[in-house]
Amino acid sequence: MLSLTIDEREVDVKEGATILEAAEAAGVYVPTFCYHKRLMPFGACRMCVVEVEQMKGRLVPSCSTPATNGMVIHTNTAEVRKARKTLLELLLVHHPLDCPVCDKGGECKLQDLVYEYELTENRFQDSKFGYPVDYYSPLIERNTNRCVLCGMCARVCDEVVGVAAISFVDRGFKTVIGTNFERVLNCEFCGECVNICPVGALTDKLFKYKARSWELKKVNTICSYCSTGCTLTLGIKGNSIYRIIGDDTIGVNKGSLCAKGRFGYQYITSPERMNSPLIKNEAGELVRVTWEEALERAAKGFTEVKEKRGAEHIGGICSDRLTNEEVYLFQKFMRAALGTNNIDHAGGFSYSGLLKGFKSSLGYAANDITLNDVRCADVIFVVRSNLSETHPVIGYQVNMAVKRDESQLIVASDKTIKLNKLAAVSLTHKPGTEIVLLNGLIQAIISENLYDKELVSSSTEGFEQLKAKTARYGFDYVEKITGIKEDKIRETARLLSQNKKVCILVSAGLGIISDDEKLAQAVANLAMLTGMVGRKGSGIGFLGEKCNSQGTLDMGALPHLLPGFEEVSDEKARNAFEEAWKTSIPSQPGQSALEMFEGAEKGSINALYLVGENPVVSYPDTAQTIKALESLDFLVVQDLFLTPTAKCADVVLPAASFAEKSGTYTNFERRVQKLNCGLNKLEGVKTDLEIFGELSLKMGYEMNTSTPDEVMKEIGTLVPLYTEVNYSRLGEEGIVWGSPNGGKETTLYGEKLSKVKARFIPVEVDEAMLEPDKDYPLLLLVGSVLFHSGSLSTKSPELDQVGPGGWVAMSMEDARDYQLTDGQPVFVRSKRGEIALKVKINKKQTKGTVFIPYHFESQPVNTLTSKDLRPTFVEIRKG
Amino acid sequence: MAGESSGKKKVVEKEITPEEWGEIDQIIADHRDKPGSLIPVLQQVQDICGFLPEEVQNRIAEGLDVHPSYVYGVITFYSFFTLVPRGRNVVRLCMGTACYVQGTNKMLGKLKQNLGIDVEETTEDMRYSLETVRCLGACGLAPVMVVNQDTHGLLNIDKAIEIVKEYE
Ligand code: SF4
Ligand code: SF4
Ligand code: SF4
Ligand code: FES
Ligand code: FES
Repeated sequence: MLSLTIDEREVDVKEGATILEAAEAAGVYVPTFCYHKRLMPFGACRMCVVEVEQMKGRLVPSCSTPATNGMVIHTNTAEVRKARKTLLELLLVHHPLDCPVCDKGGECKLQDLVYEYELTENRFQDSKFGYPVDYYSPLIERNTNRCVLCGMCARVCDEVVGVAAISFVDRGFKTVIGTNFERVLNCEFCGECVNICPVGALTDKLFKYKARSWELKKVNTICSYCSTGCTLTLGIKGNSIYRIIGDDTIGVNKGSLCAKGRFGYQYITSPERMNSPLIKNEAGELVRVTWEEALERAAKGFTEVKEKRGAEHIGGICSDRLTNEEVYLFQKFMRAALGTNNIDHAGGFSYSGLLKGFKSSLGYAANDITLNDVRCADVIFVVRSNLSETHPVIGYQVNMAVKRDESQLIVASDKTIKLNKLAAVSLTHKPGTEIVLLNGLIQAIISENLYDKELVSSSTEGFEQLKAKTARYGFDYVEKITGIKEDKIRETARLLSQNKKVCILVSAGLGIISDDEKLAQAVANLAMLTGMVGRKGSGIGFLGEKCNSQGTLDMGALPHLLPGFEEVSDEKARNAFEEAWKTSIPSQPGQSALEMFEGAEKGSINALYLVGENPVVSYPDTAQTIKALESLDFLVVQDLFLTPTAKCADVVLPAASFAEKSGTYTNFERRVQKLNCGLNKLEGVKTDLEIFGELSLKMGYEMNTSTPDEVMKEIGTLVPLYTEVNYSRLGEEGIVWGSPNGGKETTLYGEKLSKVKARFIPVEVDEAMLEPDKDYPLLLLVGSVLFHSGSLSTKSPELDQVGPGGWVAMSMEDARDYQLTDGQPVFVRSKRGEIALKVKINKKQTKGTVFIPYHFESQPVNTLTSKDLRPTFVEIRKG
Repeated sequence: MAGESSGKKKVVEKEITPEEWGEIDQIIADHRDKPGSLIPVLQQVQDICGFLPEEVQNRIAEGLDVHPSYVYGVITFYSFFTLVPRGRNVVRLCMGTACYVQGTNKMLGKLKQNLGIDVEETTEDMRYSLETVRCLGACGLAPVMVVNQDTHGLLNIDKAIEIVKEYE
């Protein structure tokens, strides 16, 4: 500890702190331009100068000068003020005085400081710069004339985002922030540079000339895209969002956002949004009706099927973008009002697959890790996860961990991804062979005696079986199947077992064969073996695709689980719910989403309730999906847009967006965070919560909860994991469920796995599945891309602008063999169907594979895939 | 935003030959996955091509997996990298304070006239490139001019032109 005096105030700070940090701790304000706590010290602007008595007469930059014991510091002497004032004068020599038309006006650091230092005239004169303004880049406008060269934009882009798309260019007096050859921005469009720029040199084009910053009402809420759960600050005027920014004092993201979170909000005000319920008339057309009529019709339709065929002939599938409260009510509606366990959600394909495996191995279908653990890890092992695209803000943490704190990164991926350039070990394996690779690692760790013997013998079961089953995964065999050489496997095995803080990250939704459950078990095996579960700061992070992937599981949108992971077949658990809900619940587990679609075609499912789900676009095998929907007696679809799925419905119910409602989402850390309603609902729509309540009432079952708060109270009484979650206690940090200390700690499994029953479950895959067909030689990979998440983001025109659809990525080698060039139209054909796309040659694509994102209605990749959970092979011919 | 806004510059066109591309790719391959290798790669590539045009920068950026803006930033920061082909002889006139007051500014005007090129340009026969620098650290010899590696001090206009002529 160091003690020092700043402006007469005594303060203690820890060794290594800078004077600026000490001032902050003492509550003394020091102006800065180039300092930001998210960035490494830079010490370039000298705005932060202070006087140190011990350094008589010299002014030192406080942001980059270490504090020492006994220092006496003055931050606001005449000398200091004069130096700062001169600095401002110099900046203003070239700075255009266009504050009246600058979007930064009102929140500009330069403006504020000029005001604070009462600068009314300038001793210096010179001409203004007159650099051309970049009006042409998407989303971001760059006006170099306003730049104060603090370098924060270039540093955040490199140090945090890991892109370095803008940089100091030229030297001396000519130095500017720029791009190569003054080209337009070619980057991830995360807007972090805009957010950090203290002046109006980088501005948000969507916000341009729309409003003055002080007119905006600020509402903090949670991003509705991925499961990172970033806090967004909405800027609202009237009843519209004018911009979204990150506030670096709050949220798991501490102000960082990605392109989706920052720019992907315009779907909310899209003219395509539905604003009236629709029902299908005699002629088969969807016509506008009142809510009363629509709900009547929906209730009648479900009641008829229930009475004629039985409740087990009805199914419901919801999106993992609903709030916890909504998911809870949805499954309650299905179970209590309709009387069926046929409940599932979209993540049912992947995330719940992953977590099912996890639950069988470790007892909980949930992670025991935080974003901060990733940031602080010694070793990060990324498996089947292009997380810089699917969960960009988690990607930023990995980037910072590696670049700033020298964490060792291991990347196991079937193609080269952005993270590879940071990796200490790159395990670029043949597609679909992750489990073989993991078994190889397990084999290496066991045979080299690197495993955590104490933990294995005291807290786990099944080690001997694991050892026996993985014995055949010797180096030669693993290399043959995966293409990964012995030395890399040995090195990875060592890194994983000989470091203290180790995190494994796995993403949902990138599986080629639906082996998610097995993958989870294999990862869990590795984690138990190396002792990285049940140890603080280490663990596994399964990253769900959607904002509430975890909460949707917690709330029981599953055929076999009630809220809180209670088995429906468990009588005692069931009884508790039956008693509270005053009804009976079927004891048999229901059908999964895929089973329901199969059942629809066969006639065992006759009515479906799809909430925020668009299976025609996002489920495999579109032809089968449509056939199944057409075979139904009755279909209700609830969504924001008239999706291709909604067009098949008998009743369509328009729902509210995340910004128009409150409630909670649970992120990948199990952190329950509160959504704050920012906008009045679009006229004519209701929130999903309202719809479930009203529909249930129409069916004669009263839920008695009409606000999210009331629903959460009910959840708290029935779900032990959520008893701590109480709206009055949900501050800006949220609450991590199942952890002591009011959710401040995350020790779900307990130290050394003391709270769970941990089991090794050996897994293997059918390697023959990965053999291509001679007519269909290319393996199809389906997944998501940086600028999109689900199909919602495609309704935000600005994301479509930077990330348009309509392409198939293929490797250089394959493009050469097929004699295809970039942008050439082609047909991609599988056994099931064919779609027309344009070729995008991607040097990072692995030979023998092609990649198509699934977000776009206009490129229905799922016409190619199948629901049998086997890999899809395709052929490509010129269009 | 590199360079002056004085209209189009006289730049000698030079294509990168297939052999040069081969060597560039080899240099990139030798340094791939080694941290901190950007500057050595740029140096070696410039030794081969004589300059670092956009297409070469893009190749290096892609090969080393860094953003082209970053590469461009590094190149424009160091005066020993050049974006355009330089002549066989690079004439650098010091514009530091000491030299400036001794008249290098006027000398520059004369040299431009004499060589028929502006600053940061190259004569068509590739014999000379003209550049300016800030203080060469030889203020005692002001005014100072450096041609290739040779420093010439205590100059006047005629002497400077004579010296330049000696370089083939
Ligand atoms: S938007 Fe993001 S990626 Fe693009 S330049 Fe700014 S910080 Fe870098
Ligand atoms: S553009 Fe903004 S953030 Fe970047 S250096 Fe200039 S003033 Fe700083
Ligand atoms: S999409 Fe994910 S990473 Fe991006 S801002 Fe939203 S929560 Fe954060
Ligand atoms: S803030 Fe300290 S030098 Fe810029
Ligand atoms: S000013 Fe020319 S050498 Fe110093």
